Parts: sequence; C-alpha cells; structure tokens
Amino acid sequence: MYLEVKNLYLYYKTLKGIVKAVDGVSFNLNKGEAMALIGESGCGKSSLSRAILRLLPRNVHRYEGVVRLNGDNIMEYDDEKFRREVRWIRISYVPQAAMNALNPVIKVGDQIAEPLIIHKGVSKNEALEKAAKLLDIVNIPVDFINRYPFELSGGMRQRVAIAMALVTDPEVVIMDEPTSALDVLTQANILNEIKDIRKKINLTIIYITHDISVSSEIADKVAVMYAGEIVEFNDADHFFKEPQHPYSKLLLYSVPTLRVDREPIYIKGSPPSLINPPTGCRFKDRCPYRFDKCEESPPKVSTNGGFAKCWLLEKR
Amino acid sequence: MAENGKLLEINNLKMYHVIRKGLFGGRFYVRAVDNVDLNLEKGEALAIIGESGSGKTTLGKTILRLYEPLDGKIIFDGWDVTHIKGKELKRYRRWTGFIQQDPYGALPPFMTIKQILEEPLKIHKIGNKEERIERVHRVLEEVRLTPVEDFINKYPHMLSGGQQQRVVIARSIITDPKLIIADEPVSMLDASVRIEVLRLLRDIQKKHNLGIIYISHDLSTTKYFSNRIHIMYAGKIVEGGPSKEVIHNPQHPYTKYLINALPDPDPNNRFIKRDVPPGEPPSLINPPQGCRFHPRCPLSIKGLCDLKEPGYTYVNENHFVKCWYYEKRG
Repeated sequence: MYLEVKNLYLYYKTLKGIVKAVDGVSFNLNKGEAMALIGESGCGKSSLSRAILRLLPRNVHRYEGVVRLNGDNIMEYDDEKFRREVRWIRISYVPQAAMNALNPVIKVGDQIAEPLIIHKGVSKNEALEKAAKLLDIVNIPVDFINRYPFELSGGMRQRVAIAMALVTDPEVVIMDEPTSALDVLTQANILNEIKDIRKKINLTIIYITHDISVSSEIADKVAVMYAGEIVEFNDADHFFKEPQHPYSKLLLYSVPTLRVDREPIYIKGSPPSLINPPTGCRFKDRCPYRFDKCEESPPKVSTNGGFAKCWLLEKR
Repeated sequence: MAENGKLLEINNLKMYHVIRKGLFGGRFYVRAVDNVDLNLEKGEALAIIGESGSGKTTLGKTILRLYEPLDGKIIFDGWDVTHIKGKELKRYRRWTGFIQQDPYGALPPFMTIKQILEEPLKIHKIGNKEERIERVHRVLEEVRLTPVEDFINKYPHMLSGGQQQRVVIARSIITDPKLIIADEPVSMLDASVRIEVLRLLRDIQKKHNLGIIYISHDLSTTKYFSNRIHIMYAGKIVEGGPSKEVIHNPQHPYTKYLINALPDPDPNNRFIKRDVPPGEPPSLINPPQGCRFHPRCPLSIKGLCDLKEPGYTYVNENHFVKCWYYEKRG
C-alpha cells in the first residue's frame, strides 16, 4: 500500500453547527495508481483533499485519522515538519480554477520554479532549468518561460499549474477539477497530457471531479463520495460496468451519453446538509431501494473490486 | 396542438463588437457573428453548439435584439425586427424570453420571487393585480416550485441553484412568449440537477409549443433536448442538421474533432488518447481568410480553403456542412 487513508475526519465549526465534511474516510492506493473522487458539489470532495494536504481553515473542529504515505504516518508530523517535508514536496496540488490562480506579475518560469527554491532550497538557475524541463513535459514551448500568465490561453495556464505541481517530483498529486472550466477540445488536450505524464513518471493521482465521463479518462480506481463519506470504492473496470451502491448506479445513469442513445435519469431530491446528516444510511431519503434496515448505519461490504456501504449488499 | 410555420428566419446576420484602442487609435471589430443563416419552426428546439468565444452568446443576444445587428435580417413570425426601436422593441421583448447561464446573477437579490415574476407583467401591462398574481402562481407550478406559498415570498439567495434556475425559467415564460433563448441554462448546475432542469424545460417547450434556441458547449445534453443542432466555430455556423445525424454522422472536420473529444463513461478511456486538432480558435478581430478552421484542419486544401469561404453543401435534405473538402470529395 502506497497511500493509505484510514478513518480520516475533518469537521468545521460554524455558527449553524458542526459541519461534518469528511466523516471517517478510508481508502488505499498503490504507487502509480490514479483514483477519481466523484460526487455532487458539497459532498466533501475538496475538503478531503484539504485534509490530506493539511490546508485547513481556522474553524477546524475535529481533524484526525491516519494518512500513511509510503509507510510514514504524515498525520503525526507537526505543522512545521509537514510544511517542510510533505506539502508540495511529497504531495502536491492543482487547485480548482488553478489557471486563474497564477500570479499575474510573475513570469511563468519563475512561478514554476518557486516551489523548488522555497521548499527544496535549490538555486535559482537550477530551478529554472527544471522549470524548462517541465514546460516541455506539459507541452508548452520552452521559450514561454519568460512570458507572463496573461500572454497564455486558459488551457496553457492550466498546464502551467500542472507543471507547478510536478516540479518538486512529488509522489502524489491531488488535482481538483483541473479541466472543469475548459472547453471540450482543451479539456481533451489536458487529459491527453496527464495520460502522457503518467507514462513518463510513475505518479499517484487523486483526481477530483463531478464529471463522471471525464473521470473514466483517468481513473484506475473510483471513489464515490456522498455527504462526507465514501460510499463506494471500486476498480474502474468494475465500477463503470457494474457499480455496487445505489447512489453510484444513479450517478452513472444520470450521465447523458453521446454515442449510446439512452435517456438519462436524474436523482430526486438534493444531498443532505453536512451539519445534521440523516442517521443510518445518508442516502436513504433519495434511494429507490430503501427498506427498514437503512435506518441503521450501513456496513462496509467488500465487493470484488473494493467496497461499498449499503445494506443491500450484505450477504443474507 | 403543434401549429406549424416559421417562427424565426435569419439571413446573413452580422454582429461585430467595436473595440477602440487608445484615444486616437483606430477601431477594431470583433466579428462575433459573421453571416449566419438560421431558421426555426414554431415549437422547435434548436441547439447551437460552440466553444467559448465562438460567438454563440452574441448570436443569442442579437436574436433577442439586445444588440443591434450590423447587417442581415431577423424575421420573427413574419415581422422584421432587425432594426426596430423603442415601443416596437418593447413589444418584441414580450414575445421573447431569455434564460441566462448564472441564475443567481440573473435574479435581483433584493426582490422576492413574487416581485421578480410580476415585474415583466407590469412592464408589459398584462392583466390586473389579481390576474398577475394568478399568473405568478401558475408559472411557479409549471416549473414545479410547489407548494407555491413556500417560495413566493422568498429571496433568490434562499433557494438552491436548481431552484433559482427554475425561477429564471418561470420569468422567461411568464409573458407567454413564442421564442426562448436559453444560454447555457444548466452549465452552472450540478450534474444530477442538470437533467432535471433540462427535462422541465423540454416539457414546458412542448406544452406551450415554444421555439427554443438552446446555446451550449455541451453536445451530450443537446441530443435529449433539441431536434436540430448547429455547430458554430469562430463566428460562423459550420454544420447543421438533425441532432442524431450530426452526432452519429458528422461531416465537418471540426464537428468530428468535437465529438471525438467528448468521453462517455468507459473504463477503457484511460488507455486511449484523443485526437485533438493543433492550435486554438482564432481571434475574431483578425480571423483567417477562407474557411476559419483551415489553419487547424488536417484536410485543408491549399489554394482553396485558405482563400475562399466554403458555401453550403447538403449531405441530405436536412443536413448541411460548409466544407470544401466535403464538397470536392462529393
């Protein structure tokens, strides 16, 4: 096991109450695997990535669990050690709308080189050399190193953000909706790029998206998140052919497909508030298969590619 | 129920945005809509698909006459609305509705749902107070914001994104228009809500025999919504035809790329790479001569595609494509 997340919790304290954004999440990834983290907005996807990266706001109420990276429990590290040794060095991040997060007055090359200089103490010249190499990896002409972000198109800026995340040779990269603001062709281009990078370097990826079609472009493993919990974790091959959890099924059938003529369905209702999630199964109010057992917390049932949390799957 | 006949006829429509550079600098034109032809039957749903910057939103706003076209003709139900002004324009507004992309931005935050929905009726002097309230109730029921009493006195921020978009839809149909322009009506919404809102819009369209122009970048949702698709690239419509035909039998190289780039959920996707054309859409200030796609097109014919703009070629009676390669190949 390369990345092991076990019983991870992240709660926020707000005026309305405690928000249980990440509520006992566990999953494992092998080196070089890509996991897609899918779910509706507000289900805790981004909070999970923030919990792993320890990029926390001030109003944290509960933050605990185990995150083991190549054997090291990085949750035990103090903040200083985490900053020096883990964040952006072993685990890096492509934030949501990263293409708009670049500093407009700093040259592209300097921005890519910055994490190396700050986190690894590399000299500026060496860092710039590495930045040039990364521009090449993400398919941007190397002479763009001296350009400013406004001179680049949206797709190119997104690639710069990916280069920034890769410059320190991290072991894990978390990408939060890296293509959701892009046009179809640009998105295909970036996805091609990520596929190429995976061939060149053995990268472990957590890919957050709400677009299930896009997730199938990257994922070896799929984790479905609902109301702060992972309700299904499965091999991509199993997941896209035979999802196990009712929510996963509905989510998959709600995707409008281009090539197959099938009327997409929609899931009635909306996700519950994370302040007071329903007891028992959190999906029960929207689930067409609900029965009396669902009032109790569902068991984690092993399936042939992973696990799912649902009473229906329990062997009688 | 369906009365037939042309609702909208657009010929050679041009809409350029003017940009001035500096105080004494010259004028530049962004050729956002350039020689667009388009027909819409009564009660028909037509989709216009394009990437950002292709001019699809400008086309929609020009049809609504939020912009005045530079050239061409817009005939709405036999009425030439190309250059109408003042009272006439106001009369035209009554027969058209607009659904924007961002529902929250489209709703005034300081007005209640009731005030928001009543306003168009007041402006167009439709009905007395009681009739107006009755109409507000009716449209809210139609967009399934029920029980109506729960919503009517709320402010937009108290509603979810999907509910806000329903209010926008309700507002767009409250004057009983004949034409709705829906500009990316669901792209800000969550995937699971999108289908719900689109289906609602489709039901309303069928019930009222509305003409809808659905503007989007997302090809996969259009199939369920519209009878016909037009593909727009750099200010021009490059291909058009019945939805299923354009999707399953695309002819323009750009359309082919667009369809090829869109994944369907399939675990084998991760092992393949998508064929993407080189480069990016051109600037509309100085678009390429000839076919606007030619600099990125692998099939471009030298001395033809880069000089002369392709005309209409018909794949069959309803399906057209503007491409020299297709025309020469026959």
